[in-house]
Amino acid sequence: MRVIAVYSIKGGVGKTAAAVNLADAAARGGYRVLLWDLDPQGAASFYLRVKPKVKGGFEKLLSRSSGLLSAIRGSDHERLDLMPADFSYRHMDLVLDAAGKPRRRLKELLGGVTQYYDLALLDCPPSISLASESVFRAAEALVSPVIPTPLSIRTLAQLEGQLAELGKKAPRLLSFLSMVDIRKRLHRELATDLPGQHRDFLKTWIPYSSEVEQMGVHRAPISAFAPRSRSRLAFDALWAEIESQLETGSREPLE
Amino acid sequence: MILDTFDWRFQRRDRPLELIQRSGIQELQLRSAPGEPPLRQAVARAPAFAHELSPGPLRSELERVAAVRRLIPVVCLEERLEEYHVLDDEEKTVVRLFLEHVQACAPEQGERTVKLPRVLRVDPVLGYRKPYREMCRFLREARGLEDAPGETRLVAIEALGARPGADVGWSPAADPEEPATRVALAMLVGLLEQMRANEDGIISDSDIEHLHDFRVAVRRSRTLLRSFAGLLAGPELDGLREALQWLSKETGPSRDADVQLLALGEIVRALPEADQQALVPLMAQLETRRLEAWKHLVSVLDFPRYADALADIETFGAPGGTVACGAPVTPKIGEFAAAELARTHRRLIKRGRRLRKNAPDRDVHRVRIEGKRLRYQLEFFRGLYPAKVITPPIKILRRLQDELGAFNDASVQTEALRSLARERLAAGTASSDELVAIGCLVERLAREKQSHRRRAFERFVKLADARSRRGFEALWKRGKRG
Repeated sequence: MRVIAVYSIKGGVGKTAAAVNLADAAARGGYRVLLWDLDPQGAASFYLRVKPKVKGGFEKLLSRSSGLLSAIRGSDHERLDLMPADFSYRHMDLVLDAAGKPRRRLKELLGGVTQYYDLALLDCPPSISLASESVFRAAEALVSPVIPTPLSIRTLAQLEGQLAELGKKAPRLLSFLSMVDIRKRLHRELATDLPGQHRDFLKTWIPYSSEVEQMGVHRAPISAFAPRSRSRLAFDALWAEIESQLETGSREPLE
Repeated sequence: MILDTFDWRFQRRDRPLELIQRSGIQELQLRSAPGEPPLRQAVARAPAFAHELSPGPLRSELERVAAVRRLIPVVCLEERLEEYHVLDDEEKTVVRLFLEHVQACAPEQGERTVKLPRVLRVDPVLGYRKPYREMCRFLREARGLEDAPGETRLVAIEALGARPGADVGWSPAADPEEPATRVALAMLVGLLEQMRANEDGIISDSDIEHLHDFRVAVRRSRTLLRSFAGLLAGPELDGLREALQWLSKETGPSRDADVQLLALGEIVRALPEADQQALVPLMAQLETRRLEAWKHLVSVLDFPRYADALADIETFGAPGGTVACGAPVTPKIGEFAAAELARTHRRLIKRGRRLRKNAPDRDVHRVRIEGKRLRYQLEFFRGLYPAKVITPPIKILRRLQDELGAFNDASVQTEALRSLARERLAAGTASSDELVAIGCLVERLAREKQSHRRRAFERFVKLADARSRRGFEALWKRGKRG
């Protein structure tokens, strides 16, 4: 099972939309996908119509023998299951710290479902914390959306610096441009320049679109309600590029 | 499409293997243990063998169940589904209902199709057990629906009258009070059925395991005649023994060639590319030899001697046949089994004492033969004992036999490789690269042999220790008590 985290230090960059649509694209492509909504706000769970509730909260999840399995919910989309969010995830750092070996915990939990899924996508909350370090340990790649604005690019540099500290243990960073509005000159310029300036910056970019906003109305991935839209095609292309990057990946899949 | 081995290994374990085509994607799916999601893998086409799949849990499980058997399409189902969803207050699907309209056909039966009765299937959604249970209760109690007679695949198999290619005909002894002679003859006839059931598969060469199962039936028959030697008598007995020995001998080369190609193929595939290339001519020669051996085998099955041998077994085993009881009083099978198992076990322990970490091949071979006899006897008498009594000795013995069998295979392959190398060298057809690669193979087999010999010794020590002995002794003590 491959583990990919959709992660950014900055909020509001389109992480959850990317996580849900990438999971959907992978599932349509034949992968058995588990999307884990790690954000206590539970937006990914909302998009997939699953109540953001895990019985016993995160603390119980860590201790019970069945691990993730008993908390996973099937979505309305074939081959796509969801590990829902829970409000207790807001204390994830504290619980991980108290449980000991905090950086290994998410990887151990995911280890219990490897035989049922080909891909686990983690939708992470925007932060730098113990929980994100646990994500870095579990994932072979971080997919990081970047809005073409100076502030967002600055956080990308921060993330690169943080990963550099981890050395060889660091997951691969695959960044992509998100919410690109080609009517804006700055967006156009950065969309051209950024891929050349950062290693593993993906060529595919996601346009700013109303379909992403409508996901909240339809409570479904874009392919379910706007199958011919530009955004859906862009997410499909983004998944295809990530998939081909993983083929040449540097870390082994989780066994 | 339902896939299975010729002897229906998946069907028998209630773990159907299905190739499902949906939304343009083809997926192979194997049912897991109850409560666990099925193992699935996207595939481009139906695999003919487990090893054709990419590595993963599904492939491992298929290899465990089917081993080297071919995966054959048993039944094709063409479904038209009407789909309905039950939603919760988030408008999320929590139960799926499908009204199934199914047509079934068996690839072996040509064009014939069967329309199955319509079935309303209720599918749970992962994590939503409660609404699923409520829906099932509602359909039963409020709508008066009855449970379907069985899963669609089972109904289809039943409707088409499909049967395993080589249904196992023999059944072991079950009633300890039955006269031993009667049980022996019934088992012999069952084994004969097993041989016949595998004939077509051998002739069509659809799966090499048909020959394996055929040979197992022959060997079991020989062990059976030997085990019941004191009880069975009759003018045909010697002829029957000779006929079975002849069958063993005639089918041996073809089986050896099958095993050689399979085992060496696996080792060769793990070698570096250059060595693999160098061994292409050798593997081609092995293929040719296998084909020749198979052709000979098919001709053997056409010999009058073969038909006569099978007819003799049938006559010998038939009620009121020419068999006579060699003993003054026929013992009950329970008592007989106890005495026979004790005797064979004693012999195995005696022979096994010669096993050392570096025992000569001859001694290892003798222990293997004796172990095999005991294993067959345990299978003959399995039904006479509760599972908790008979299963542990079988397990311990199987572990020993696995190592001894692997040791024997490595010995046979080494000899075959040496002889092939000599032949190719004499004929001037072997390149130096090929000879070096053969040398690598022989060296690898020698290492494997050594490690199987060592492990066989360790497992024999385990079989002969006090605890295992008590396990075996429980069999004959129980038998004596009746």
